[in-house]
Amino acid sequence: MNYAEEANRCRRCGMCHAVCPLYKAERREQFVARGKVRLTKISEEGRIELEDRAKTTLYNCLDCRACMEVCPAGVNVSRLVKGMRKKIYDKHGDNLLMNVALEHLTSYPKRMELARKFLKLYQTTGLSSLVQLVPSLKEKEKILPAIPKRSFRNELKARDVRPGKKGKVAYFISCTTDILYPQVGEAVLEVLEACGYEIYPMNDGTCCGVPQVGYGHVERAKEMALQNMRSVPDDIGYILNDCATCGSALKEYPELFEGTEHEELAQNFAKRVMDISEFLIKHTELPTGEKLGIQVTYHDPCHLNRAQNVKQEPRDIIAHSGSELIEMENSGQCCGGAGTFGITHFDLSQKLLKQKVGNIKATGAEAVVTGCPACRMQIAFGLKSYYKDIPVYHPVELIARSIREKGM
Amino acid sequence: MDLQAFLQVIHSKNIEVQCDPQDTSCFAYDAANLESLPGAVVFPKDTQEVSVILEAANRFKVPVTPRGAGTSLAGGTIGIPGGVALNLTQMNQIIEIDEENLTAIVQPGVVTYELHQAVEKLGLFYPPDPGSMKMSTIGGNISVNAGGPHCFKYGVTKDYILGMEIVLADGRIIRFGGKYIKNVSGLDLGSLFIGSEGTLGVVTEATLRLIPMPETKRTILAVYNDLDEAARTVSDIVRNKIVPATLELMDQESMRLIERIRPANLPLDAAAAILIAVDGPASQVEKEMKLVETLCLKNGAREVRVARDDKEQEKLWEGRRSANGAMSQNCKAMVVEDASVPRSKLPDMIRKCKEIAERYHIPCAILGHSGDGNVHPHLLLQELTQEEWERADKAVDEIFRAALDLGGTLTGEHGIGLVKKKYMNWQFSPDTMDLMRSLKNTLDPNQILNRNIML
Repeated sequence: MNYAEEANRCRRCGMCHAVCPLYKAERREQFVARGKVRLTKISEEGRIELEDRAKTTLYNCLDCRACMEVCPAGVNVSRLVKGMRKKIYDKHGDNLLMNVALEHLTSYPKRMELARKFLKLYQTTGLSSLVQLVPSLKEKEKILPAIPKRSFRNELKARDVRPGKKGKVAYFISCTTDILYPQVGEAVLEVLEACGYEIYPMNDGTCCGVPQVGYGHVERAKEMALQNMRSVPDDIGYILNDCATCGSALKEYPELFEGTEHEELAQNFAKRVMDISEFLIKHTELPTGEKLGIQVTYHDPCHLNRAQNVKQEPRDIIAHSGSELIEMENSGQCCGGAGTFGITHFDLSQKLLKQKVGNIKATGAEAVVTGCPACRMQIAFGLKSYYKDIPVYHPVELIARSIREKGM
Repeated sequence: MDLQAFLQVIHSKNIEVQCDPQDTSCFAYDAANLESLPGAVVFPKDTQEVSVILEAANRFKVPVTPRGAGTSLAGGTIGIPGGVALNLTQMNQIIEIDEENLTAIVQPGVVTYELHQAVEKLGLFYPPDPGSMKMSTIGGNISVNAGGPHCFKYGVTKDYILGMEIVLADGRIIRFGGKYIKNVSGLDLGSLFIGSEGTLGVVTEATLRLIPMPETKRTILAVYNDLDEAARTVSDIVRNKIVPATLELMDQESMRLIERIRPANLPLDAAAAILIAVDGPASQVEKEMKLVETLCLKNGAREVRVARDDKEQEKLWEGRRSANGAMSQNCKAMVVEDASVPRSKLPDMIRKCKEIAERYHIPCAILGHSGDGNVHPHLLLQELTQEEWERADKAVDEIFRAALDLGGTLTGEHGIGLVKKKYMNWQFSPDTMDLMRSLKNTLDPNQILNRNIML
């Protein structure tokens, strides 16, 4: 992408002000798309060096893409911000912690499994209460949910792959499902099998690369993308996933390889990627289980709602499970989780989370449903901190439960 | 200009300030096609801080440019390079909504639309609705005496200002007006400051007039083969003692562009369409709608669409609202003008704009508030070459010449700003200009506030 050209399409009308959750919270131009587009423009024109202050500005972004939805000129703000973060990383590198995390940890499922075990140990041995003595970590530490006994990848090993009449679909294993919410992966498998599909889990795949792209480590992200793309046989028509962010990242692989030898491979991969809710509604005859009869509200994950334009299907799934949907106000506003933003920008993130929890509370729903594990983690934390500990589900879990309850 | 000495004061008073070009460059622009890098951006949080800032600026001769959301289409927030941008967005509190006196007290950084939402919850109505209302601020609205579609029936920002607190260029704080409708005490200072584009003082608080929310609102879209028929309809509606809440005109090019991105079944071969909204008590609206429909057809409308419910109404407005996006997607830069002419001259003005744009080979789409004679020709630049900019400049010159020849004015609601300054002498006699300048010199002898804007 020619960043200067893209940035120059901005008419500076300020429409982004009206929708940017960070701008609304802070009311300073650096927080809104228009300011970041400006930095991109003058940086690409060689009029300014992107140093610490610009870095701060460029990292004050949730990548929630609310601005892109209303931008009259259709500027791809997300790509500009990521492009400038890469430019800063390429010039200045990153600190040791981020380098270890992004280059040597999150991109290796086996090391992530070790990390999971460590975290589990940390939570069970009482080490966590020690960490909570550090004031700056006291609140943040609680964002992490209880670590499950077994990762989803390990569950998979112990599980038979059942052949299905409808053919094979690939299943991308997101890190959060793997480590934090294996029950979601389990639900995906159950429901797909009930629909007659054989699942090809992408065991040889790795993380989608979103953290790497988000911090400018684009070369590493490309290696990971290649690994993922090569882990699916060509004859599988759909690559399904249960994480909004992973799904949008997989669909955006062609952007990573623009103008390179792998562009076609990436396009061929990306066009087969589909969110599980969309797939279940559009391409399967979803079995009808027991009516759950619970009242839920739905949070639209930014990377499902706007990045993938999947809005109705998760709601259809909720209805199909016999649950009642009570819409919350502003269901599409970012919960403030936004990957690591919730930790790196804790206070700002909590402002958004409090609004979200307030909107959830107003519905009186007994559970929250959302199609993104990162949102789930943030919202669950928010519910505990600012409301009450009601459960948060992935839409697929509702279907799995209704099928299970009927004993199908 | 002694910026360093100024900054010392700012730092000593702990006022938030940014000086790094990586920050200040985010305050170097607005929605006009201009830029100017400030030497510092200050973020006062209350009137006292604004006063300290202006006192220091005046003492050290530092030029100051007040700024809200930075949505000026006239370059009204483009300051002197190296000067100070006075960012008022941190002062965004709605201090009070008084349901008994129908007033609101607000800080200048309140976003117009957020005020709308707050008062509408209470069944009240603040009518000024400039196109940028979702991001523009009340302070900015007051500076340019902003209007919008509603102003034909409900008037402009000025008609809703009951009182103000203003910080003068030397830091003195003055207040006038209050929660009363009738007030002839002293000179009408409100009229002096409203629309002065930040050249005379900085608004730090305003007392606004609210009215009850009209009970209901209905919309009609009327399509015409001939601009004059559309104009005749408008005159006929007014002659029949109906004052619609809005009378929005779209020309053929606007409809063509809107259809391209958001198909709404707008006819592409029609010369113009007007969106007419009538509001008020339900029984009266019903009656007026029937009459409006009859009048549209009588005056030659080839098609009249009446929105039967809120959903259909919303659909009709959706097209109009996507106009800006439609235009943006069909150009590399946009020059939006804002001439106002007597209502009867609107068709002449539109034809003149089209003829001029054609002569200079620049695609031009026109939106207008046909109730009040305010025309917004959008010149859609395609190349961004020096030569094309020059052509656009010449076209704009001619558009303003035409507006003045038709008995009109340079700007209806966007303000003179930087981009229309050169035309001031066309509209005003030397004596009138002298009077304006002497008022400016009295209030701001050191030319601290917006010295490059308007005058």
